[in-house]
Amino acid sequence: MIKEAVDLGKDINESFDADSGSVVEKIVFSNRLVLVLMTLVISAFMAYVVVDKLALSASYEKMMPQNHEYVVNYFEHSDELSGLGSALRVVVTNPNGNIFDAEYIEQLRRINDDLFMVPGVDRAWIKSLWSPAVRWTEVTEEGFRGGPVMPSTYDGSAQELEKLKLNIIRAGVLGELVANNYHSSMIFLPLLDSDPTTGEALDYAVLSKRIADVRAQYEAEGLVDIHIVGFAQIIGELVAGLSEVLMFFAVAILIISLIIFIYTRCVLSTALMISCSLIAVLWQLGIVSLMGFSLDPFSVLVPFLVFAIGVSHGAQKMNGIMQDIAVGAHKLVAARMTFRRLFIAGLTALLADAVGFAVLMLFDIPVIRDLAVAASVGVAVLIFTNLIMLPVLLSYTGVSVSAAKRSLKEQTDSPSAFSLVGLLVKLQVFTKRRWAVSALLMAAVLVLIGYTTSLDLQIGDLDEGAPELRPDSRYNQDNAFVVQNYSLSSDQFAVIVKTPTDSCMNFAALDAMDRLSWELEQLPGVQATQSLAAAVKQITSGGYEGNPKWLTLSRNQYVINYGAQAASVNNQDLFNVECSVMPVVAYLADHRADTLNQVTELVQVFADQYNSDEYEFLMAAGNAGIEAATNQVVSTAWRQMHLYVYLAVAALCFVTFRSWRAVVIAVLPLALTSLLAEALMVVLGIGVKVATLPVIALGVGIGVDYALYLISIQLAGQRNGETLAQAYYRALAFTGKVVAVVGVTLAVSVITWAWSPIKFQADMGILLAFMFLWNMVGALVLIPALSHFLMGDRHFFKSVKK
Amino acid sequence: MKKKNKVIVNLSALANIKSGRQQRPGLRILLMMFSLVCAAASVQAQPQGMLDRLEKPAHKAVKAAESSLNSLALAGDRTVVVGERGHILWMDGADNHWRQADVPVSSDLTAVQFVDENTGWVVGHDGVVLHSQDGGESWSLQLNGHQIAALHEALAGVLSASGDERSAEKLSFGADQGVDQSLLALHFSDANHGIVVGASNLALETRDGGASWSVISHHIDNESGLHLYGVVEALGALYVLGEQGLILKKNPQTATYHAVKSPYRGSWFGGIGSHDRLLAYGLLGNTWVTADGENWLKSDMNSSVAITSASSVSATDLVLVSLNGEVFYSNDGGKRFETQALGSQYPFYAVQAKDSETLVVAGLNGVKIIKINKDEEYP
Repeated sequence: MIKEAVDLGKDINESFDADSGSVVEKIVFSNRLVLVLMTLVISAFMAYVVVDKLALSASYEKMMPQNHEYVVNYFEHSDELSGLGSALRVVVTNPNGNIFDAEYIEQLRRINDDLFMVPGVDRAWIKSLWSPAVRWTEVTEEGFRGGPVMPSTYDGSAQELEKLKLNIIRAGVLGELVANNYHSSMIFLPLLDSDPTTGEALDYAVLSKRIADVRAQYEAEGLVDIHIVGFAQIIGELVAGLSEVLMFFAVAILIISLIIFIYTRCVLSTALMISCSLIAVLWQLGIVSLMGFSLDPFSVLVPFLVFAIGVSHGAQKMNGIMQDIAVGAHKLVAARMTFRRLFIAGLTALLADAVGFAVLMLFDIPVIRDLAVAASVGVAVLIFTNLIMLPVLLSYTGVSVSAAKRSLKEQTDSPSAFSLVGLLVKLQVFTKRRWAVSALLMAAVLVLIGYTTSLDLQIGDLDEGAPELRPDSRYNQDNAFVVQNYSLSSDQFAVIVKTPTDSCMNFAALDAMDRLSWELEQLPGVQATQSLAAAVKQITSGGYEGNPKWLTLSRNQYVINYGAQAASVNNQDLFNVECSVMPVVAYLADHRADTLNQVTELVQVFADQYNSDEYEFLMAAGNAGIEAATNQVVSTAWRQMHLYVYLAVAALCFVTFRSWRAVVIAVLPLALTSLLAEALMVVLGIGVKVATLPVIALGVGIGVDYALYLISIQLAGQRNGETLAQAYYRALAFTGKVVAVVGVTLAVSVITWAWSPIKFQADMGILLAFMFLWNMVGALVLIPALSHFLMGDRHFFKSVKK
Repeated sequence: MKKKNKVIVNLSALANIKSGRQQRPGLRILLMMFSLVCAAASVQAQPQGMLDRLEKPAHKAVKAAESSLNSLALAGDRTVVVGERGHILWMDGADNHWRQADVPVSSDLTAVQFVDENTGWVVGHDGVVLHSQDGGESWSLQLNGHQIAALHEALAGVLSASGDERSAEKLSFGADQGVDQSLLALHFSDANHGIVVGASNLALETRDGGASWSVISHHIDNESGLHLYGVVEALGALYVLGEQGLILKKNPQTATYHAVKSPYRGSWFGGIGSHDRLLAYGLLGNTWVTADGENWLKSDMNSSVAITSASSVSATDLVLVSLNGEVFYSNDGGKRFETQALGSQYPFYAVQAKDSETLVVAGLNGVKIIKINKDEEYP
């Protein structure tokens, strides 16, 4: 066989017609030097761009589904709903006792002042013990008395501290601004949507850095401990953990290089392949920066995915060239032959990947759209770097002949049972009926298991705190601390009650709003509610000397007006200046998808039933309101995304194979992987959310790579009159082994992420590893089994006869 | 809802004209029917929005027993508690298992009383008087704010015709309040005779178990129209307590109420009585007791916030609760109260002794059972 092959190689070189091949091939290979130089120049430029321009950023607004009803409502009224946008809660603890300690109060003042100066903080609405707007009132025989909670005469004396203590109780801020055990107090920092100086969306990466500096400074002084919770802080922690994320990427790249080298035993070609994939990443980052995008904690995965896909294709090219060189072909001839054989399959696969990412643009959420653009650009770049440049570079360098010979040896008729190919070719039994049937039955069982498990797939967050971070991470510990010590949670869902101008104090509107609050409070996930109606009731009772029998919404307009005015002194968020917008705020026990659904369902039913000319209930504001909107968008787009990805992949496969049977054979194993991935998410407790979407898109993308490379070789063989078993054997030995190597390599490289300190990355690592592996197994086992039934010998001999 | 209010205003205006022209004896009933018809019509004429509190039955809520509850009463072995949003709940024995009654309104309710284990009344805002004959499980509406306004209107007409313009004017003011009539306390001496009182000297009585009501505001010596917060039977007489130290005593012969000397100028939130004492409580921990209705003694106790409710445990023993969630216990008829140690810190609005060891307390965050601890003092 080897001798034959070598003769064949000679024939190839002699008979190779430089004018043969497609137009693309001719253009590429007749301008090799130009291409290489061009690549170098562009790479240098891109490197400059990346260094100069690439930025990490994250904004709250960009994570909102811009056209969702809730978000539209929120944007429309956001100016009037201060305190219900994104906010940070900074809890300052006295580790040496309670808050009635002059030293503590002084530290609190300094922290309060420093945080006040942080750009992006909505200064007018900051609330803390030092805010003049935080006031107390008391009912006496003469009427009301009141003042700021921090006594205006405060001088740090024991007497004044005693006054402060009394004011805290009178103001009712215990559990809100002061911990129930008096060991800490809170600075509530509402954040602006955009930077007031630049007008651009507020960058949480910058903001959380500034806040972290303040935190570090005061914790270093040792007098207080600081806990911070809020969405901006989660983003901050993710950005801060990015260096570690990148380290894991580096480790993954190293592992991949090592395995590829062990497989090829050729330093030069391994280095070339890795370089081409890295160049693709460089270009992708450069182009994306030029387009004005920046990296955020979610799209940071994209460069790595581009690299992984690049490796998958690069390995195929390298392998092709290796095999041709092994049979004696000249390196240029080998490169051209490989280009000819695999360019279309590679192009189709990359287009499928690009489409897979592009459908993410269906999501009405800017960060996902940015991610989709970034990934599509990356994949497009790969077409150039790994499908064109890699063969061109290999045509100069070739591969080490000994490595090539070694690789060819495996392709002989009787490969060693212990070699990779030797193991792989055993898979051809799946082209036989008995094995095919059992493989398909097995698959059917998996479909059943996968389907029943995936029914529990949840949208959104499944845990308390920040599921992107480890349960023992600083953020989640801080969150647990706040939940434990404060009565009002940081998960707010606000219903916007809208009335005609100057009508917010009408009895009918307030009564309706009061009833909504009460119905919300019946939900197990709702801890408490806050609304103008409740405040007016309290003030009414207060106005009647605190008599509880007057804890009622009076029908008397004067009583209501007085109550509303008095309430707004203590809390300006209760209604707007035009008296036409007032929120009902529900404090939720957590922001799990279930909890949010309970709330939105109740409010929707309530609004449908009671909305009238006099008042209207609109969702939503508050972090939980926005998250509910995001969940709904993700939920609808989830199925849509799958549908479009599969339609696109099927169309591309059809263009490549010109056989609907081959399309079915390629797509079914992918569908099984998608289904099992959903089941795995259920088992791992991962919900479908912004962070998980790119992984699923990639799962389909990389899966179709495998199928395309395998089936294109198999189909070519069958069309040349080989039996299915022969054709599949050839496919296994040629592209199949690379599929196996790449599958294992990528899986091994990402599984290390499971040890990442960022839980989000760990989850992604496990999911990706599963998909890389399972796509490989699915392709290698199910393609022959399905082929047996759909593209068996009978089918081809029949068409040949025709 | 606005529309509906308009309709009511128009109808009252119409009734006004009628009452001016002809004062038929049946007018009162006619007006009542008017307001009922009007209420029924408004239900249909209102395609959008929410039903008024008076027309919407109380929501059966999961957390009704944790809502703000104002008043407690015993109906035999059963305890009944009433509060916001038309909530009426009952418990048999002391198993802390509360069931919510069917109530035809969702107005805020302020007071409850049972005269035997089956027969009871509840009053509340929007002028509601509810009646039960099955120990509090189901309730029917005997009176509402529209009807109270109509009754005022009618009586004003009568008094005006008899030349008492001053009283007529005050009653017209009551009529103008429309449905906004707040009933805050009640007292039934038996299954037929009862009085209900409330905001701005509002007072009505019945002699037929609530089947018919008559306004008695003009029989009360309360020139400035202070709110009335409690009705107490004590020392063989009927007392009404109210704002700014108001204490009124009923003269059984003339059926009029006269102001008597008060030991305190702040508001009373209520009182409790027996044949040998009257105890009144109110703002800033003021608790005063008298054995003759004239000489008052300030109770010796450590409290600075309003006392909201009292209950007798035995002939000599009494309990009080406060807005600070405190419970005070006296074993000498109210001369001295000890503070009971308590874990809870939410405001208490009502207390009812179940037996010599068990108290039921209700307040801002619902109803619960606590054990009396007679020995220990609050640290």
